Amino acid sequence: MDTGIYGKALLIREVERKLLELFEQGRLSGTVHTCIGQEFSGIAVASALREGDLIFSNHRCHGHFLARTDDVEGLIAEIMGKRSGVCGGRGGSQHLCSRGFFSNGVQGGIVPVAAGLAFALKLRKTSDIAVVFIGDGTLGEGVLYETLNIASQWELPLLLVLENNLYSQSTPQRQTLAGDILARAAAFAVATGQGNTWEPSALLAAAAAAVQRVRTSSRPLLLKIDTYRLMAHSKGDDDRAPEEVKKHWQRDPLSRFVLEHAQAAAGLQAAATRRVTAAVAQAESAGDSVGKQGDADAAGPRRCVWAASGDRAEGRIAELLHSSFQRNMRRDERIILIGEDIEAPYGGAFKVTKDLSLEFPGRVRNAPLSEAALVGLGTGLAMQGFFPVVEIMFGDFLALAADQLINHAVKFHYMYNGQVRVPLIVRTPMGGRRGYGPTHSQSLEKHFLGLPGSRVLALHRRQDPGAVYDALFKGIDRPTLVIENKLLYGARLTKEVPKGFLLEHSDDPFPTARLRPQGRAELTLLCYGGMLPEAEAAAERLFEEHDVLCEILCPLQLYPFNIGPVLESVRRTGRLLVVEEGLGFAAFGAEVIAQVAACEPQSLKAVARLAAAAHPIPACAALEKTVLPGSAHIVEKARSMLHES
Amino acid sequence: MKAESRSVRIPRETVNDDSVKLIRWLVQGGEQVEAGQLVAEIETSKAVLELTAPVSGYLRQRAEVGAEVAVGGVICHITRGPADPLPEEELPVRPAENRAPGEPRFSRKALALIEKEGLDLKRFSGRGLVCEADVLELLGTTPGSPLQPHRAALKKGSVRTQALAQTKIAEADFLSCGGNNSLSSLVSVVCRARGFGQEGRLAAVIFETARLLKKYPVFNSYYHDGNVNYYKAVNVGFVVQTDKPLKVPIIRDADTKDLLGVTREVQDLLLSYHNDELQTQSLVDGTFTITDLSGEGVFFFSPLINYGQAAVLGVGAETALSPQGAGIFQLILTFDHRLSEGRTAAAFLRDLRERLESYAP
Repeated sequence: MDTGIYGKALLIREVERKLLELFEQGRLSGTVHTCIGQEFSGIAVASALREGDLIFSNHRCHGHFLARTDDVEGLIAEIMGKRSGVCGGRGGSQHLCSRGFFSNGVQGGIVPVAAGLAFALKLRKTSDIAVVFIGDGTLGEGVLYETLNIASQWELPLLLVLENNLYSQSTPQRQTLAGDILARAAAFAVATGQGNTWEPSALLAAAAAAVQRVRTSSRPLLLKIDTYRLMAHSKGDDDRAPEEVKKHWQRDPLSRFVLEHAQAAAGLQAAATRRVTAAVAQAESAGDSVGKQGDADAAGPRRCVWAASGDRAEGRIAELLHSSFQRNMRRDERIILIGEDIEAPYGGAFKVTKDLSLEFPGRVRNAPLSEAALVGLGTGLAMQGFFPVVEIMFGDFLALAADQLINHAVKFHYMYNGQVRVPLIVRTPMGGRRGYGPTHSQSLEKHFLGLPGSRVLALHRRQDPGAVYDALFKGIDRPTLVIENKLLYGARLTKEVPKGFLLEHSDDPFPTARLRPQGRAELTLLCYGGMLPEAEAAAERLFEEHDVLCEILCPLQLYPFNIGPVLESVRRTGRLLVVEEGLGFAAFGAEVIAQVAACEPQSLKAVARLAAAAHPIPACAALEKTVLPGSAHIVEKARSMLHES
Repeated sequence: MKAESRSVRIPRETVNDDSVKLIRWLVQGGEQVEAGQLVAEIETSKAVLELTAPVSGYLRQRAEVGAEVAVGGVICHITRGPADPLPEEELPVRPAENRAPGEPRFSRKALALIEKEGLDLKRFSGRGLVCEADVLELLGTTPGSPLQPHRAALKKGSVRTQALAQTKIAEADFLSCGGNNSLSSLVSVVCRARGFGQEGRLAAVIFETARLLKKYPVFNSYYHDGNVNYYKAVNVGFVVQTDKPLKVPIIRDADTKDLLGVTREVQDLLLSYHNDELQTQSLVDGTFTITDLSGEGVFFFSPLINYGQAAVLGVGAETALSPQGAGIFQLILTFDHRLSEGRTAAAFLRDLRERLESYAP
C-alpha cells in the first residue's frame, strides 16, 4: 500500500484540525471550511497533474491547495492574517493564490474563469490542462451549464472535479437536485468519470485517467467524486443526523488506516503534527498584515494640464473602432475577441467586428448567449497574459455578468496580493433614443462604478475611440469596462467646435474633454458618453437665447474618477449641473456632487443634477423622450439654477 | 403634358444611421433609366447598398459623391422629360457654416442691445462670446443701472476732431487709385538691443511710445469721413497670443505712468490673459497698438492697424550682425496714409530708437 498518500492526507487533516482549534481560540479571523473526510479528492487529482497545469478551487480549498503546493506554512500564515501568507493576508481561507493555484469563495463563477485558463493553454498550444473543483451545491448555479456548453463546443482542456458530499451547507441533496448528475454533463457531450474517497487507490487511477483523457483529447471531462464531509460546512452549522455522520467516520479511510496501520500512522501523524505546530509558531512570529489600505483607486484631485484638441479621426465611429481592433490585432496576437454574433458575415450587432474573423481565424469567436461565461472566459484568458475583449451585445445584458466582474475579475489583483493581473476589456453599448424599449435602452453603468481595481470608460463624440482602444491595448493593467453609447456607432466624431468655444483635452491617460466658452462661464455642465451632444446643444441655446455661458466637461474615464477638472471649473463658475442618461439614484452625478461638496463646499453657489426619470424606458419614441434627459431639460434646469442663485 | 417627377429618397436600412454616404453614381445626371435599374451605391454603418430607380425616366442627381444624405432625404429625382422642372425641395446636403476665426458671436439679447445703441460690431473683435452683460459693460453701465452711451461719451469728451486739408484728401484719393487696396503704409528702423529681455523691452517700448504719442498726436488718432479725430487719452494696447485666442490688453493713460508702473501692469495683464481673467475693461478703448513678435523669432513683418486707430508699431526679434556684435532689432510702423506720411513716421521711429538706445546696456 502507498503510505505516501496517507501521509499527505494526514497532513491535510492535521492542518484543518489545527485551523479549527485556532478558530476556537479566536486566533483566526473569519471562518474556515474544512475538508476533513474529503482529503483524497485533492490528493488524487493533484497526483495526476504536471507542472504547467492550473487549478481553480472553491471555498473548501485547503486540501486542494496543500495537495498541489504542499505549502503548509504559507496557508496557515495566510489564514492567520500574516504578511508571510500566500496572499499576504489579503485573501484568507477562501481566496488563495500560489503558482498556478487559485481559489475563490463564490459558487459557480470560478467555472468559466477556469475555462478561460484552459482556453489560454489551448491557444498557446501547450498540452497543459485546467482543473476546476466544484461541489454538488454548485449544480444549482446556471453559469456552470453555460460553461459546460462552451467548453464542449470549443473543446477546452478543462477537468471539472465535482466533489459530491450530498449537502449544500446544511440542505440535503434530495431537496435541491433534480435528475442525474452525470447526465447533465452527457447532455453537453462532456465525457464523465467517477470515483470516491473511500477507495483511494481506485480514485487515484480514476483521476489519472481523467486527467490523461482531458490532456490527450483536449476536451472537457466531468469527474464526479463521491465523498462525505465529516465536520460542519463551516462552523456551528451541522444539522445532519449524528448517526449518519458517525457511520461515515467509521467508513473514513484515514480513520481505518490509523487503526489498521497504527505504527506507520503514528510516525506520519507525528511528522504532520510537528510540521503544523512549527508552521503555526512561524506564522505567530511573522508580522501581522497591517498598514492603512486606503482608497485603492483615488489619488485625490489631480490638477490637469489642458491642451487644445488636435485634428480628429475621420469616419463613422463603428469604423474607427473596427480599424483600431484590426491594427491592434495585427500587431499583437494576444488580443482575442469574444462575443455574440461577432463573426463574419454578421460582424456584431453594430458591425464593429465586421470581417475580422476572416482575417484572424480563431481569434474572433462567436459565443453562445452566455454573458456570465463569456466574461469569465475573458478573465481566465487575461490572467494568462492574453488581452481578451468581450463584447456584450447590449449593455442591459451586463447584469447577467455582474458576478463575474464584481466577485471575480476586479478582485483578483488585490486579493491575490498582486500575483495576477486581469487585463480584460468588456465593451458594451448602452443608452436609449432608439426605441428599443425597457430592456435594450438602459444606461446601467452606475451599477459598475466604484469597484476597486476596475476602470470604467465612456466613449463620446469628441474622443477618437480608436485611440482609446490603442491606449488600452498598450497599457491595460486591470479589468476595464468600456461603455459605448449606441448612438455613437453610426455617428462621426463631432469636428466643428461651436463658435466662441475652445475644445481642450486634459493630460490624463484617458482625458477629460472640455468645451470652454470665450467669456465668463457661469455654469459647469458635466456629462459623459451619449449626453455630450445634448449638453453641447444646450450650451449653444443657453448662450444664444438666454445669455448664459457654460463650460462643458466630459470625462472619458468615469472610474477611477479625477475630480480635479470639476473642482477647477466650479471654482470659476460656482455652479455645477451634472447630466447623465441613466437613473440618478446613487449614480455618477450623486457621487460627483458629493465629492465636490466634500472637497470645496464654499465653491458651490448652486448645484443640480439631471438623470433619467425613475421609470423603465418606454419603447414608444414620444414617451421615451419624456423619460431621458435632453437639451431642453438641461436649458430649463440651468436657467432655474442661475435664476435662483 | 404636365411635368411629373418622382423623388428617390434614402430608405431607413438600419436603426443606427440617421444619414448615409453616397459612394458612387451608377447613372450619370440626365441619363435615361429603366424602372428597377441600379442607380447609386450608398454606404450605411453596416453595409454598402444599391439603390434602384422606382420608375423609368431621366435621372436628375441631387447629391454629390461623398456627400452625407439624411435618411428620408432626396438623393435624386426621376423625371418624364430630360429637362422637366424639378420640385422645390431643400438640398439634402447642407454645407457647414463657416465663420472667420476671431469673429465674435453674439447672444440674441446682446445683438438687440447693440442694435438699439447703434454700436459697431467691430468693437467686439476678438471677444469670443458676447452676452448682454458684456455690451452693458462696454457701455459703462452695469445691469440694472440706466444706460449711458459709452462710445458717444468717449468721442465727445476725449476726441478732438479736425478736418483734413484738401491737399491731404486729394493725396489719399491719388494714392488709392494706384491699385493699393488700402491706404496704409509702412516704414522701419533698426535699433540696437540693450539686453532688456522680452517683457522688459515691451514695457520700455510701451512707456516710451506713450510719451512720443504726445509729440506725434497724428498716430494717436483715427480717420473718419474726411476728419482726423485726435484722442486725448493715450491708451496703448499690446497684442498677446499664445495657444489661446489673440487679445489686445490696454494700458490706460500710459503716458502718465512711470516705467515701473507700466512694467507691472504689463505683467498683470499677461497673467490675467493666461488665466482667462481679462476683464472687458482691460480690452476696450485702445488708441494705439504695439505688436511684438520677437518671441516668435520674427525679425520683420507688416502689422495691421486696428479699428479706430491711425498706426500700429511692430517690434521684431533680436539678431546679431556678427557673432560678437551687439544685438539689433527692427521697429516697424504701419500708419494710415490719409493722416500722415512716411517722413513723419520715420521721424517718430528715429525718436523712439534714440530713447530706447539711451537705456544703459
